[in-house]
Amino acid sequence: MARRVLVVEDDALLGLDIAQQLTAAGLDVVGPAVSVAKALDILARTSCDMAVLDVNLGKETAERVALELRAQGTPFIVMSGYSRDQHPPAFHGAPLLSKPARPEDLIGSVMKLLGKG
Amino acid sequence: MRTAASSAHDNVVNFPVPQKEQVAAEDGISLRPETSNGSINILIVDDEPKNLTVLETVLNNPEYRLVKAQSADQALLALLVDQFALLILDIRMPGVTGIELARMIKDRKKTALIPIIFLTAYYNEDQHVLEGYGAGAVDYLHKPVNPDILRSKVAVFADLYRMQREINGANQALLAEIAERRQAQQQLRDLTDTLEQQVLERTRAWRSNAAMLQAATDNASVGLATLDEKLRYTYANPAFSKLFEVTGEVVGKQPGEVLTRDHAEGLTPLLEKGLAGERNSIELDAYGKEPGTRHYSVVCEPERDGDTNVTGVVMVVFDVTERKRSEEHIGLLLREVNHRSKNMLTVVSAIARQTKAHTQEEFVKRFSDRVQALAACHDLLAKREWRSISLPELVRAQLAHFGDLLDYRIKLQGPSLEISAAGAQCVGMAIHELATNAVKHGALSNPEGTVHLDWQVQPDGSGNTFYIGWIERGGPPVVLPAHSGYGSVVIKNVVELNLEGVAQLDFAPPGLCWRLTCPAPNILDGGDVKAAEKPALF
Repeated sequence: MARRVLVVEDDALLGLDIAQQLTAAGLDVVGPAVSVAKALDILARTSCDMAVLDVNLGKETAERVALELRAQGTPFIVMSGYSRDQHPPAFHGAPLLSKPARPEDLIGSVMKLLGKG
Repeated sequence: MRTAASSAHDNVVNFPVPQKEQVAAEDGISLRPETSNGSINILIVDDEPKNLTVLETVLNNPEYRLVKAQSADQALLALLVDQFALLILDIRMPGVTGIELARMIKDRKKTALIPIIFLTAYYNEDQHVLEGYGAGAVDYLHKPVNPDILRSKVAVFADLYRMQREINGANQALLAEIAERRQAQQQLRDLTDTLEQQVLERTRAWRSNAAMLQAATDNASVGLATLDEKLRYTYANPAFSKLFEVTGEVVGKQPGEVLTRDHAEGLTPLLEKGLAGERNSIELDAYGKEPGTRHYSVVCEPERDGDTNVTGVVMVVFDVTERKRSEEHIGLLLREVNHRSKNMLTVVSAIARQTKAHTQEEFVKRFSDRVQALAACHDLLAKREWRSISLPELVRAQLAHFGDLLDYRIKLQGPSLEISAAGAQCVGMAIHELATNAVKHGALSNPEGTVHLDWQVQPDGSGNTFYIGWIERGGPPVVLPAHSGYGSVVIKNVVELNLEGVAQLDFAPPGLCWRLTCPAPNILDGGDVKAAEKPALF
């Protein structure tokens, strides 16, 4: 059964691009969620194996999503244009992919986190 | 003239003819100075040369200089040339007599005081006349003259003259000394006046400088303070008190008694280094009595007595809060620029991945057009400092490359609306994709087709709804696309996700129709906050 990945990215174009890359790699994608509310709504209804999180979601950050994922014990990858020291503490410790990320790096990180790397 | 007396060494009286020297003397205007050995001039007047010779013999003395005259005229001439201590005058002379000559001499102010010894015959009437002159500088001797008496009388007058001359000399010296002293006194007075003037001028200049310095330090925005060797304030300007929020007198107190604990603790090492003779500076981030952090740059310089001993310190304080804040702001902006450019590269990478084409040329063309559309959108965003964009402006920017077709075959209709930066990007890219499709397959691919682009905000049950529609007419028959590529993702999925709206794409035969609706707050200005103001990230 395909592993399920939540994509949280406020720019729909980028979210769709990431979703497409993950789908092409044989993964089941939920999202992309463009806001904290959407992401938390998905997490409440669906169980995910992991998540790819953008930090800055326009008006808000994905901090609450990261905290929820930690509470659930769901691993996640952080994708951001900001450097790590600019991130809220909830993101610390998670693998960081700097934007723009190469597709093979994204897939490699996701697979590694899923124990398939 | 003494040469004339050279033959008169006996008592025989000669008649000397006036000598050349005497004639030469007539030319002289000024008085002949007395001889340097201080000899005394005596004028002897007698019409008988032999009598003159006798007198010359009797009075032969190196201290005397005898001038002989044989007439009143010659005598007057001699009196003009020389100063005489004594006149020895024969009364009986032809022409002007001795008496008349004496009167003339006494009448002249210059010669009035010269004593005269008259020579007169024994027991004749002349004696009465002579007595008429009275005592004093006039005397008489009877002829024949007794040489001893004559020498004695002459000696008395000569002594008198010499004494007078000495007194005069002393007087002259005294007068010269007085004049000299007066001159010295005057010089001293002048010097004192000059000095007083200089002191006055310098005092005035100093007062003016001091006033200027006072005004400068009073009004300076830089804090200035001086402290003595025990680190007690000796001076603090108003800016210093203001910077450190000090009220009341500072002089005589120590920093710990005047400043907040933070300030005093921050400054103490600096001041101690200053007392040790070291110029140093620090930046202080101290909390003042008012809320909010202030940043001070403090420079401390030792004050020296001469070259060696440190007698205290001078402290200069700048408030660099604004500078610090602007530095922080610049840092923030730089990080934001970095973030945005990375974000943009991410979008461009996604566009590149999503752009499908059969040939390399086709790919480059499509990709470049899409990047161009993105760039047009960003130009507008940058112009508005990433706050919002006017929708009509955005639409015109995206369609600008159609030139004359705009407002002719492409009709625009809608109110002026300010939309958010995020909304602008996805709507702008959607319009680009629709226009590209229209040129390739739709209403803009033939010479007649038209596009009607309109937008509005409509009142709805729960709130306002934003609507924008792209309606094509007059193009070739509409065909369903073989596959849904990047274009359809952008005009449907992206806008729906980003704006939480509904995008309808209708391939009806009269022409393609695209209609987007979403809750108005999701796209209108106010929905987006400037990234730099996001608090959670900083």
